[in-house]
Amino acid sequence: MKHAVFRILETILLPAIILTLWQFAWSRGWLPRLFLPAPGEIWMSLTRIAESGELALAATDTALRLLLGWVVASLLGIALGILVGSNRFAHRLLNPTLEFVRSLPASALIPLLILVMGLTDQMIVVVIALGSLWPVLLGTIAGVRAVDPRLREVAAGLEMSRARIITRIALPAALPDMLAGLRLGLTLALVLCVVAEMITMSRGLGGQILLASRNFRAADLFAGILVIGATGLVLDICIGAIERWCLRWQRS
Amino acid sequence: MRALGFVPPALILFAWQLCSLLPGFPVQTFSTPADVMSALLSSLLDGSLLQATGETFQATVCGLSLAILFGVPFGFLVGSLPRADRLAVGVVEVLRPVPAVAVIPLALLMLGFGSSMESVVVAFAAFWPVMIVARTAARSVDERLVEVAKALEFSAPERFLKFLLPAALRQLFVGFRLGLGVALVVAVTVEVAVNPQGLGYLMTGAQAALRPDQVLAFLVWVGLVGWMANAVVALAEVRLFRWDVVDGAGR
Amino acid sequence: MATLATMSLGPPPARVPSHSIQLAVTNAGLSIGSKCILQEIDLEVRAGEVLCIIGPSGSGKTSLLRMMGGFIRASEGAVMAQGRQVVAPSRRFAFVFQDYGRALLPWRTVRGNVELALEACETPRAERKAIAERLLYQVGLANVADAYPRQLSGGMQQRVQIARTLAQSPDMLLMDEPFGALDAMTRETLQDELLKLAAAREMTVVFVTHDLEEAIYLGDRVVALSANPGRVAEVVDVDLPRPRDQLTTREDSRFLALRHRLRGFLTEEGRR
Repeated sequence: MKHAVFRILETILLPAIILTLWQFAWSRGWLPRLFLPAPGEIWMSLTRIAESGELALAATDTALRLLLGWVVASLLGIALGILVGSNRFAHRLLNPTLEFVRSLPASALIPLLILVMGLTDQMIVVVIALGSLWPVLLGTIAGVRAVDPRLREVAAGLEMSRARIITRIALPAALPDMLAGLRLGLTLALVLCVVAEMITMSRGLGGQILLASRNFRAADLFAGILVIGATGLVLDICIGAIERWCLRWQRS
Repeated sequence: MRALGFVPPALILFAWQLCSLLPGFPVQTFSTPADVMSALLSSLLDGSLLQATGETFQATVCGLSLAILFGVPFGFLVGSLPRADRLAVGVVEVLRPVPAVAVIPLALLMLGFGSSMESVVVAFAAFWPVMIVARTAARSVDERLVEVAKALEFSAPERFLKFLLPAALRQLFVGFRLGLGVALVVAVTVEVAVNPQGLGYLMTGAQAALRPDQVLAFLVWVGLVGWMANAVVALAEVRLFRWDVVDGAGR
Repeated sequence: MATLATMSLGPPPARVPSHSIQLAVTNAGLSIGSKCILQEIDLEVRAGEVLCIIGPSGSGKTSLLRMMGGFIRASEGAVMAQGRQVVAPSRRFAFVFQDYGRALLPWRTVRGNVELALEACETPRAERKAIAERLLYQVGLANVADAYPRQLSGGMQQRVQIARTLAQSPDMLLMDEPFGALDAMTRETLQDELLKLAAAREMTVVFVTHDLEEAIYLGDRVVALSANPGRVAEVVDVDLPRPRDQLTTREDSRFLALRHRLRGFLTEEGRR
């Protein structure tokens, strides 16, 4: 118990020192106030936008787009991944193309998609979906292909059908790689969502922080960055919990 | 059998070119493979593409260098001193979930448009993989080696230079490879989002000018550049670490 | 019936009067590339017997077993079962792998692993749990039905695999050094359990091992392979009474005589 308290104190020690020094230096006027607000100011900005409902609005906007794009990409990625991973011909046919497209930064698709779809909300969702598709797809392919040959023999010995091999053997065996892909995809989804929102200057968090920056509202900018970071953290914790639950059999 | 991999792209290109001949095909948004090819060639020849590539690479390299400069010592520090690790975890856990792109407006406010602002964002993004790999490397240095170093009464800096660094170099290169991938993507992203320079800006410019042929040509180019950068680093890895049989050749 | 028969002192052929042949390997050979692994193998597996295959490493005993299980095709000759050639694995011949750690689904509980075979056999969903639990009880794992394989010891994991193969109610068990990776005590326990299960179910067992004493202890017949390429060097009837006992059987003069005879063969002939 005492040890745990000590641990927590140790963890928050450095942030506390940094914040104190920051506030102190700011009040002495040693910091460029134009872009470095005091911690207190950031806190006030946070509470203000939280109370006014601005924060909830922008955050739900961002979260909805992000989750929609990610879910679509994940379903598509898993389905395609099983198809390509469980079929040797399909893998030989498509792997080189996939390897090339993977090295394409998803954000580079934004200009093309703007051209096709305009500066719309749908465009943002498509960017997110296209960007977060690859980790899931490639993870699933790799996972399905890496199924232990011994398990394939067990399945053959039981004369299992192809469909059954996929649902009972290949999918569960690919689960760790698949989940890693889903997790990476979610991180990418947040990144792309913020970028696309900046470009379209949308109501979501990305657009809001760029707006704050253009209007020299540094406190609001920092508050926005913090909220985006918190969003990323919450998403990561959620998917981490799902991952641990799904892979509980790995613990020996 | 490798030729099989060229079939799908070839088919797509062929079908695309064929469709573009149909009446009513929206050439204004989709262009044609032939136009894309000629756009790629002409912007390669007039030097604009190469110049933009240079700008993107400059920001990438600057950012990655900054990331290594800060990330490696920091990673070594927290990796070899458990107490430093526990102290740093609070700050790291606050900053790490922040996507690098969210830092763009702040960097813009502080530094304005230009390559320094871009480099800072790239550095923030590439710092994490580099730092984490350095931390893992420092942690996994063979304890026996550390004991040997201590038995020989080397000073701390000597222990670092003679034991920790060589043992960790292999893993650091992995961090470098990961960091490079991240850095290039983030550089292009910053350009697409706000910064008026480099390949990303070239693409947004082409989009604003309603030139789908150029947008697609630059997209293909970005893919090629990223793919080649990765290939070069993977090759270097094989060459440099031939003695290593654990991790193999960049996968 | 089988248990009564095994009590008699006669050699194995006596206890299965019909001599019915479960599986016949005729003039089979196996080559991979230019390397000849097995050559001119002639072997019959009789219904209800425990047939042990031994041989020095490189004698292709595992390859022979995999050929019998339909996992690999013979390059020459044939493996026949009930008048038909064996060309693919079948549920009727259950294969027990040596590396139990890789042959179990790590994401399924012990019961789930047994149920996998029941699913493959289209056993109605409602009955699976009860059947799986009964089988687990038989192999002494009733209390860990909800554990995951990686939480169990090696011996227990191998028991899970045996329970799974029993769940597919096979005519024959093909076992590839199943106890090779286990410690001596566990191995002896599992040997006795296997003999009990095989007797109770009148099951045919083909058992590959590199442990000579294990082969004699378990087998009704022992087939010795010579190496490079693998050929049948000798087939020996084991006329030791059943049920067998770890102490008395192993001290039996016939056991020692067999051990003596086969050991000399294994070390001298096998090397060539």
